[in-house]
Amino acid sequence: MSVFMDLSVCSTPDRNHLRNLVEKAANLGFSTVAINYVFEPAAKSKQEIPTPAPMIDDLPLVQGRSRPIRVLNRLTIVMSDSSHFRPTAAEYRCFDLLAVQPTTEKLFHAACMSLDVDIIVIPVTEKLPFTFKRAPVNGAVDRGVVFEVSYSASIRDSTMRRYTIANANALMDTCKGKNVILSSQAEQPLELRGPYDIINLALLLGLSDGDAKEAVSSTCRAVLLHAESRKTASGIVYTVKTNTSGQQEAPPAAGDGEAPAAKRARPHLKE
Amino acid sequence: MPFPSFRKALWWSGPVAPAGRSWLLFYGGIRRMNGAKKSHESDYQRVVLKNSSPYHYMKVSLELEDESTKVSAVELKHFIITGLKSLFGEVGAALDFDVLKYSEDTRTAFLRVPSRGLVNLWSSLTLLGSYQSQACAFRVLQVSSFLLPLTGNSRELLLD
Repeated sequence: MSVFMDLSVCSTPDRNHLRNLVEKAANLGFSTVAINYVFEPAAKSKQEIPTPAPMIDDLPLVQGRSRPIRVLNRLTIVMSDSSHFRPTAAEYRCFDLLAVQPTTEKLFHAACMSLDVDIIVIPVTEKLPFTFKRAPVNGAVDRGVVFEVSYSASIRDSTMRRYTIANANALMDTCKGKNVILSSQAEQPLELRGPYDIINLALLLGLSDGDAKEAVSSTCRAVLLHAESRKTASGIVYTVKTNTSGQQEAPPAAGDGEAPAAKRARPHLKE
Repeated sequence: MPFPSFRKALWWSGPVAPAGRSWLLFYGGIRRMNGAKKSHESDYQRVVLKNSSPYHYMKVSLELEDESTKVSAVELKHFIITGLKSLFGEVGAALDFDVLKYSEDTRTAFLRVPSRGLVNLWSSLTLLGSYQSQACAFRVLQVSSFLLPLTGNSRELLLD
């Protein structure tokens, strides 16, 4: 099963802009996108953890599928001190995914081995502030925590491109291509790329053919399941959706004389 | 996806093609002059290439922030070469790809690239982000090792 996911697009207060982004992602073939809210605790000033904005209504259909795109919320905490991550904070509960971006080796070790998160963000806009060690990375792989590399910074700027490729290659040397996801971190719709483009780009970042495809499909699915099991107390994962109280109406039954489903050219492409 | 992982050519002359994917069959009618005597032998020589087609073909469209901008075929090719050069340097820019066909009003082009250069060309298209200081994106619509499949796209069909 391979549905493509983009587990990070930048959030903006402008709903229209966000809607354009989600629409473009659906158009490119992504079945799930996560809207990323960044929380950067400063040393002195007390800041609020952002709250996710309500979902956009009437979501666009995914290209090639007949179901609407799934939109999730994700919180990224930029950690420069171990006190920045509070495991029991009630504010974290309203996000589907929880990510941390450690800035020191010590915090990276803690994030890999003990912190209760789903995603560890690899910095792509600066030279790697530490080196990846085999022990914490293996620990993270065993726990099911994944590493995220985002590519839109490398589209914007060639210096960032250098850092992205260098940092990604350093990561792939250590984790051997396992538990890596690629996401866009896009602010503009034109910074999004199609899933197959990303798979091809992943070859450049040091992943193999198979791992490259997994980085946008099945590893992303594993992250969502990990996030769900993190939320439930005893780690029970439920993947079957039950139809409660019949709120969803049944699909209209096809008449006997109706022709079977067939494909035809889309109207705007006919002309 | 057609990644050029298997480059091994397999030359096969026999009655049955082995199972596999992406077979290219050439039926050459090499009929022997004294065919009546040797009728038990095969009349045809079959040549099979396994994933080793020399070229890949891409259908790409350039999406620009300002839709009214005109891009000519020459400008398009120059732009792609610039992208190759910025990502892979002079050696990478020496890749000899061709723009087979280009439609200026939809900004859609058919590119032909040697199979070993596909990953390089594709990744440089992916990382191109600005055309004449406006945001842009290359949308790779189809990739194939043959030109014929690019005539139609099943993803543009609508299920009703």
